[in-house]
Amino acid sequence: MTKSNRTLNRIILFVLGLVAIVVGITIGAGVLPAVRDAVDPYVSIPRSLDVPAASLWIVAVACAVVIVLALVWVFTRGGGGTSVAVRERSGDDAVTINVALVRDVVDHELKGVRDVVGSKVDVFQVRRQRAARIRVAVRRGGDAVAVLDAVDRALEVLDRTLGRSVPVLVHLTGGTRSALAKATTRVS
Amino acid sequence: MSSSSVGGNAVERRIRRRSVHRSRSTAVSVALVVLVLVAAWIGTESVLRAVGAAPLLADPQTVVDTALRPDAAFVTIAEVIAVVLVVLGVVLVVLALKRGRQHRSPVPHDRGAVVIDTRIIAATAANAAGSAAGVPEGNTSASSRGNRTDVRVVPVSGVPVDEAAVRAAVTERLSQLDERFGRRVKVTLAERGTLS
Repeated sequence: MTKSNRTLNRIILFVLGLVAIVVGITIGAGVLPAVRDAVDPYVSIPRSLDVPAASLWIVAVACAVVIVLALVWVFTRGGGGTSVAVRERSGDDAVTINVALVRDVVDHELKGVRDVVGSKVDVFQVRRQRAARIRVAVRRGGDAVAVLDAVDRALEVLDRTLGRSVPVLVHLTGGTRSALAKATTRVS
Repeated sequence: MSSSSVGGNAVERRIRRRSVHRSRSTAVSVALVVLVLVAAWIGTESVLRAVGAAPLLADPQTVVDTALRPDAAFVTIAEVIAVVLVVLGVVLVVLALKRGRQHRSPVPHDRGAVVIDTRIIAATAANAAGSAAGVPEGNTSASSRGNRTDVRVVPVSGVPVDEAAVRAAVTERLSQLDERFGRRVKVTLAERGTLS
């Protein structure tokens, strides 16, 4: 849901994995005869390698660059969440609707619906549009069809309230809370 | 079934796809933090060597020598490090290449993108089976995997349960979510019933 670039994440994992495997095999070839024999036909691993004094600073700078890039990537991950559900601009004025309103509408509409344990709403900025994620926790043994109907009615009310239809993701979950919740009424 | 065939506008398709597939953010962060620590150590040792100060653990030349051709004391350590690195590398590559589906299914819907946890789909099947068989809720259980759903019903003693009717009810209910869930439903009746 967040802005994180998933393709790049996969590429990073893949490259780091390959590097780890290569280094591991190189070290392994030095100590394990079996690995050495297996690798021998393809590459010859040098028995010793000189580290020239001139390359020490290059290594140090390369390490610094890697550290900075890695930390930047780690600390800028996620993002894209916002508290503004709708922003309407007309000239210099802007009207914004907070996510709390959406939350209240959804909570109110889903209150008392059988099999619904709770709901969470958050808004994300996706491709310069605002999209709401509505997570509805469904009781264990509950009926998703009935819950989905109730969510549809809630969305109708929400669309009327906001005056437009915001892109939404409805996620029916069975969280830990819903697993513990007891049946309030029996379907018969 | 891929999520793109379920419909919806571009933004909703995107958030549904990103909900069904796992983000690898945590794995990447952990791997990068380890990388930072290793790089910090190598960088520090290089600088210490360059300015001629005493190394923290070992200077770069010693490290390279030991890694390529360890002396007797370091053989075991080198073996362990080699194995750990290879295993770690394989894990990372597998994480990078696997599809990373979570236990959720996209469901076609008129308004909004809808994603339902697999256990909720199973719960819905158990719910439908329970009302069709007329048994208490605790007497039915179900498990879903992909598009197939297995339902188990424990009848109440003395009250016969019509397996076909139960299957029809489950199929009917699941088809309201999506037609594909109703295609492969298996109903198992327990041999022994329970007292109600």
